[in-house]
Amino acid sequence: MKRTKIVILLFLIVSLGVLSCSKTPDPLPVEPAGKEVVLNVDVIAPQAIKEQWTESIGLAQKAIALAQNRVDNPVRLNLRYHNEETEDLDALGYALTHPEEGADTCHAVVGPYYSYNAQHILRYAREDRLPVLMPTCTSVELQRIYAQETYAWFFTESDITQCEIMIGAARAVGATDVAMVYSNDTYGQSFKDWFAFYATEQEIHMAVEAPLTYAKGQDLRPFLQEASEAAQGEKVFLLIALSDASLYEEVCRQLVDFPHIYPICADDCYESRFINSWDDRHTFYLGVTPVGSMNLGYPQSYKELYGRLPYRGEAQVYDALCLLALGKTHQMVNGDRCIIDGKQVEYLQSPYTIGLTDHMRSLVASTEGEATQWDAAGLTTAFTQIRAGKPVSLSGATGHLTFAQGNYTSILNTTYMLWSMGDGADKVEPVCYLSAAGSNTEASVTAMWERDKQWEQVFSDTPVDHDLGPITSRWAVVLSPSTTWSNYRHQADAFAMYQLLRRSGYEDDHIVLIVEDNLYDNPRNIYPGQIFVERGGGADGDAGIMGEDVRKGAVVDYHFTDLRPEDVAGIMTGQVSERLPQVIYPDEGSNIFFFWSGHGGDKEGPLWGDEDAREYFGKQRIKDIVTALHEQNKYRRMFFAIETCYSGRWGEALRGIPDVLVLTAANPYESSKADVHSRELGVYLSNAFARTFRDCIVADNRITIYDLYKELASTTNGSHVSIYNHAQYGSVYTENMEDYFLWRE
Amino acid sequence: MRKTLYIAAMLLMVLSCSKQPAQPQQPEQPAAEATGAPMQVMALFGPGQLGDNGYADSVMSGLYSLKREGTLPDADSLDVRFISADTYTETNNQLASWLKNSSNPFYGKPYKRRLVVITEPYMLEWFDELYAQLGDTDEVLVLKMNEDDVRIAAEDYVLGERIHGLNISAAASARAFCRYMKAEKPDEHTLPFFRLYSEDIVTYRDSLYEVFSRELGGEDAIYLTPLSTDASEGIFSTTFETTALESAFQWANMMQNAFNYALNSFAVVDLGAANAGWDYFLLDAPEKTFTSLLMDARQMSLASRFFITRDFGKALCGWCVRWARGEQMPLMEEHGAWDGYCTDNIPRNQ
Repeated sequence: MKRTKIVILLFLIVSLGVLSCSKTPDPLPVEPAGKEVVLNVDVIAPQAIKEQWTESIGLAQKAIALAQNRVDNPVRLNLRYHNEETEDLDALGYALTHPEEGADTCHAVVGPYYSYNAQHILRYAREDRLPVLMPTCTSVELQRIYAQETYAWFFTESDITQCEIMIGAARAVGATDVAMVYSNDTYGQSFKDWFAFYATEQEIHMAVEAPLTYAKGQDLRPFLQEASEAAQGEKVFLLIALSDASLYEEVCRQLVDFPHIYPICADDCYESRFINSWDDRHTFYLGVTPVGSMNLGYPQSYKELYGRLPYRGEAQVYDALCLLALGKTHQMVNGDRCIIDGKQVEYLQSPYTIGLTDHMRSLVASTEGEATQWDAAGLTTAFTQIRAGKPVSLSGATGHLTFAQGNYTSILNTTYMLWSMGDGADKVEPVCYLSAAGSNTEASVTAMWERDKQWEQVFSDTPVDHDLGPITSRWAVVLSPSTTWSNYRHQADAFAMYQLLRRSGYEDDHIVLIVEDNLYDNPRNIYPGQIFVERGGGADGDAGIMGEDVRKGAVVDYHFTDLRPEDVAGIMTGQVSERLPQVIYPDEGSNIFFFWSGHGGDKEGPLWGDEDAREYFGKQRIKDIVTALHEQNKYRRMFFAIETCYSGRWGEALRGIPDVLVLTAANPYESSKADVHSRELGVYLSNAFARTFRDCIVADNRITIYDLYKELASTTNGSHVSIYNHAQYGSVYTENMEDYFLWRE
Repeated sequence: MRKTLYIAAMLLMVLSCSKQPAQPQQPEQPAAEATGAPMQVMALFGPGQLGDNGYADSVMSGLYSLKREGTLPDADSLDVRFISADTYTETNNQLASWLKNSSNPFYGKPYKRRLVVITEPYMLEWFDELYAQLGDTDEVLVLKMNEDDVRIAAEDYVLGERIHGLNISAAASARAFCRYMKAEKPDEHTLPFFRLYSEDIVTYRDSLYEVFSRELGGEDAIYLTPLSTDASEGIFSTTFETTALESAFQWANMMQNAFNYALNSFAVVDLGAANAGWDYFLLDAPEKTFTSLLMDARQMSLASRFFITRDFGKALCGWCVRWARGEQMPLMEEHGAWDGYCTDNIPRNQ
């Protein structure tokens, strides 16, 4: 209630501000009473970006008007601007979706500009399914979370692609080493998360393994010195991913004393306020930015008209506006008839009605019909065909408007320009163009240049010289140190692993399950008492039907927060006590399976707690435990399955200990990624590593370690599944998982 | 005499097609008295042509120049547009649609005159089934074609005086390159020549290919390496399972290997938009030491190589200005280094 009052108060303040400041929408000619259909579009962007986008928006408005010159009831976009940097976005989001009586309705939002601001608007837009068209929000996490929403439109691919291009470009121009600085926000996080992955994938050395967070005024010299020394005089490319354009110049200036380090800048620097102010071009090297389609001629046309290439987001905002006008036309013609993939759109939840966003989706879902172009003549064709009830195959300033199948709101074919600072009149000089799929004029990102293979670990097939007796018992320790709702997936995966072990022959007293077990009664759990790792088979894959309840029948031995890190040693070495009543009792014939699902840090791997935990479990601690077990002859074999960021740190720590195999979701330098998001619960249900592990064992409990690795490596996106210590364990090609999982059903 | 007339005409054109516009306008901007322009120029690009930072982009630039203030006495008398799609099917569909609808799309009034600019000679084949739909007042301008071929096309398509050719010769630049090559490597007599199609020899008939052959001792001296063997497939049909740009990168890499084995030190590259792949290979890499000559690719500061650029944009703009004024246009018009339409950075003092 208090929160509601605050929101209303904020709204009133904003409303008063709007009135008192006489903040008028941008001047567009007010048409005399006519038959035009006005669509109110609220553009949310910083003032500088609004100015930067002026030409593109003007061009789109003119083209839309001209293309409908001969129709009776043309659609006109009434743009109303909001300064993203000064307005209270929560209040704005509320105001746009809860207009006062008599106020003009907001029909769509274009923006925000920054990924880290998007959720302020999206959370309110959800209620009415108000289309929010984001030209530049490229955060990986943001796009993953909202990919299932039919109102959240992404006009640029996520930064996974951009990160890949940056590292690929560095490699192609002869860099042997890379390093990274990033901003500590949603934008920078995407690059940080994917940096090590692509460095590994493209077999380029990381001069400094951990990317560095950069803040204004920070002295980078120690970091640069470290990178320079590690590269031993070879070229190092410094990837810079900062959400504040003004900081790029600051970073680049610090590179002057390091002649072998070249910057390669992410798209957030490609703004007028940076490009035009940057005069020392000698230290500046390469940059990457999404552009319009060169093949369809938008950037060249723009340059002819305005004397420069379009800035970041301009082609995307052009397409967003055109799609709104076309979508509205489609809605006018078709009413509630809205077909996507051959089926009428229906909603089972409020608002039940079909809206503008659905008509836009219907348009881009179509691949049939007359092909159109982005210019006024092409748009004329599009409007004419739509008004005639015919399908169209839409192309825009960014290329063919191909959106991800399913929701059709996330664009798939962003073209990126790799650019450098030129010496001529044009400050920015295009080097080449790239896209994920590649085309005749663009290099494909996925098949970057001469590289044609995915990174894969190489194993030797040398047999291990050891004398293993028969298996006399199997024990398991399953642990998740996560305690928050947002980390649902970690506890859920631990419960699911417990169930898998039970199905595989383990009695409950042979499994020690350590989880906080606080999800079942969490107020946000709309399935009280239950926990899931899989969505069900509803129409949209998430229609309220979930998979198996993995908590059912599980016996939790310890609540995580009741334990200290040192207790794990007692549990694993069988030191039963009043404090530790449940332990395992392995001996020389025992196979021990150890599963850990949680967060990790770049220094020591698994954290003792949630992502904000200040304590690592510790590489030395896990090494001491396993060494003690080995010295006491308390295992036959041990298998570690570690699902955390930087889990390869444990793999390194346990190298050399006989008969121990470590399988990790990530290598020592990279984060691992979540998987299986539930819109209903608002959280990820599982991680790809744990999910595939379960699937493989269920399909064949005698799967070889190599086949298991291959499956995990191919399905765990965003990190490199790795095996450690196989030389001390046995051939991965012949040893199999029956050592730990018997199948009894 | 012919050359003198051209020079005079070009001087007029240079004045009228200045690249320093006062206030650029959007091409489709309607006139105040909205009835629509009576004329239209439409340029036809193939998939993957635009974005080459060279020839095709220059043509587009020429198109936009037509709408700049001062180029034509009445900018509103002329609409300009272009067709460029991702695929040949879409390009053909759009071309067919353009041929069918000869009215101003924004005002509905029929155009009095239309001009279609064919940007590559091979595209004429697309008219095999469509040329009959050209209206009586529609005209065709083919770029990069020599006079003989324009004459043949005029007969094949029964277009009479409604088809024209416009070309810029690079012969002087090609000759300079051959002489530079012979001075640098007197014992090297072969020259790899990388290009998009095997059939587009017509593009070079007037200048490059003949000059290279003659200067280096016959056609056997030129190793032609096409990206695609079939122009109708276009550059989608690459010999590698990669994009054209990536193929260009790989060719540059192969060229480097050839250089390492002392096979060839020089190469000529004319790959349109895929030239960027070659440039990418050359980027800031002093160890890549063979010498490349890129055709119709504007200079890039980071890649060390020679270039020849032909300013088709300026030539097209000038041609269209005269066409819009109602002048009788010749069957063929050719420019070159002599009137400043072809430039290069090849050393001449060897």
